[in-house]
Amino acid sequence: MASPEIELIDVSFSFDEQPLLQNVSLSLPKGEVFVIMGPSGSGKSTLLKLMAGIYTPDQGVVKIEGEDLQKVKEGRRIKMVQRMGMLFQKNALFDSLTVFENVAFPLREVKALSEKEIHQRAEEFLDRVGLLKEKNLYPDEISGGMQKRLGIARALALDPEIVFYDDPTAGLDPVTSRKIIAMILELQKEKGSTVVAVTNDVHRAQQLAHRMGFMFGGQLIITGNFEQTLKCQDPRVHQFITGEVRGPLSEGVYDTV
Amino acid sequence: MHLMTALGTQVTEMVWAFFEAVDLVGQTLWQAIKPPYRFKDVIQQLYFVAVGSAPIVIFSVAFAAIVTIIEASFHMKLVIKNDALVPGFAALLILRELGPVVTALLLTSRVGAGIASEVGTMKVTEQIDALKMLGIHPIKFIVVPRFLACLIGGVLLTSLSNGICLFSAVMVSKMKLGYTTGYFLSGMRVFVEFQDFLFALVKGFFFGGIIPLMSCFYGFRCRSGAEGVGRATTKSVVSSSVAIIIVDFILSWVFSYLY
Repeated sequence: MASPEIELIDVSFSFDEQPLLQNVSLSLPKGEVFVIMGPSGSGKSTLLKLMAGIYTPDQGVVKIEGEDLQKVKEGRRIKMVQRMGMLFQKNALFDSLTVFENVAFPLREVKALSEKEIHQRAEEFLDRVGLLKEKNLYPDEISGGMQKRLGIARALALDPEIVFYDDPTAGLDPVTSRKIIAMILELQKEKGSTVVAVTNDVHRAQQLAHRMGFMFGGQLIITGNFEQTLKCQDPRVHQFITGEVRGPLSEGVYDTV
Repeated sequence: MHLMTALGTQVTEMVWAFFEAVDLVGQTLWQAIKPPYRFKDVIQQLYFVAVGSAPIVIFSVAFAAIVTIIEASFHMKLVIKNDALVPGFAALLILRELGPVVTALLLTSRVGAGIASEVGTMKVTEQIDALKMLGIHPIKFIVVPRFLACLIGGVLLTSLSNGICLFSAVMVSKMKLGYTTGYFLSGMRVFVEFQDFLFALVKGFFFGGIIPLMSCFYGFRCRSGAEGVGRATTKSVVSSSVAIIIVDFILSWVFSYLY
């Protein structure tokens, strides 16, 4: 049986002595779109960064295609990381580079391509996300939605087999959000890549996910498809899905608001 | 008990920070000698460090040298009624102290602050994480070019500022104190030896290394938000300035045994 594309075994992680993740285990097969939901501060982005190898777990194992990301040699680790792409929560665009240069940067740094090929590929990606006309502008000269699309183009520039999206629709209007999700799905289908996305938006999660997980207090409480999540009896999941003000997620918060 | 706990936390943090700094220095040196080399980035940074800082260095050190000569002459005349030794002594002071230290402190405020805020912003906007995701070593990409550029720039700017300082000193000695250029140079020959020129360059080299390392160290430790970037920048400028003064003392002490 083929090993899962991403596997987390009993992963724990803390920052500044604050435990952010506790004993998280998860297994994702190749080509799956997995969405992580949960309230703010529940450890969703941290989990994503652990899978991507940006953070190192204090305890447990993160495996990519059966290889322990922390145990492989540096050269192999770099190769493994370069097979992944990521759209960051704050986009993480290089603000001193133009829109075009942001997409050309990974190609220039990682791939042994000629300048002509780099131009061709970067323009192809920009055309794909509808930013070709804006190629000479700087990231702060384009809208939030455009910045997200640019972040996606950069994340996909190296043809990654695994793509992480950290809150891809944060701060966007519903129409732009839908467009971004549609674009993510289209690109996923085209490449057959494994996608892990973080979102707080239940509707976007439904639109995107093959399977989803719900995080609370650094723990992955449930995993399942959207229907299973809807039927989940856990009051925290129920409150999150329904968006009710009172409930376990608001404990200690609601009273002070 | 509360005070002891707070003190313990503070000490632990300081020890931890010290090891992080040592790790940064070690990794920077290792990444600097390990291929691939980013020559283009070093040249770009060198342009920013050396060419970009040259006008402010020239302007500031010229005035510092003039003030040194005028003050020394005024007080010598006041106390021993004679300022004949001022040109020679001032030349020595300029070469060994004023040129390298003033240049380094100017670089700290211009280049160091710039590096700390740039790296800090990259940290809080996840740009450093984005580099990691591309398999690019942040120290190789960010620290090494700035470190090498500041080492070279430190030496070049120290040479330049020493030249400017001496020229200003000659001019002010001639115009204000009435000493000829020949008298200044012969006075200088009594006090100044060839090693003094070399020592100045060695100081410039060390100071040049301190600035980017301190700035990147605080940039990498930057906490989120505008306040975090501001704090990182302030800490980097203060720490670099203090480090430069301490290293200046250590090097002067060591050089005193090399005569």
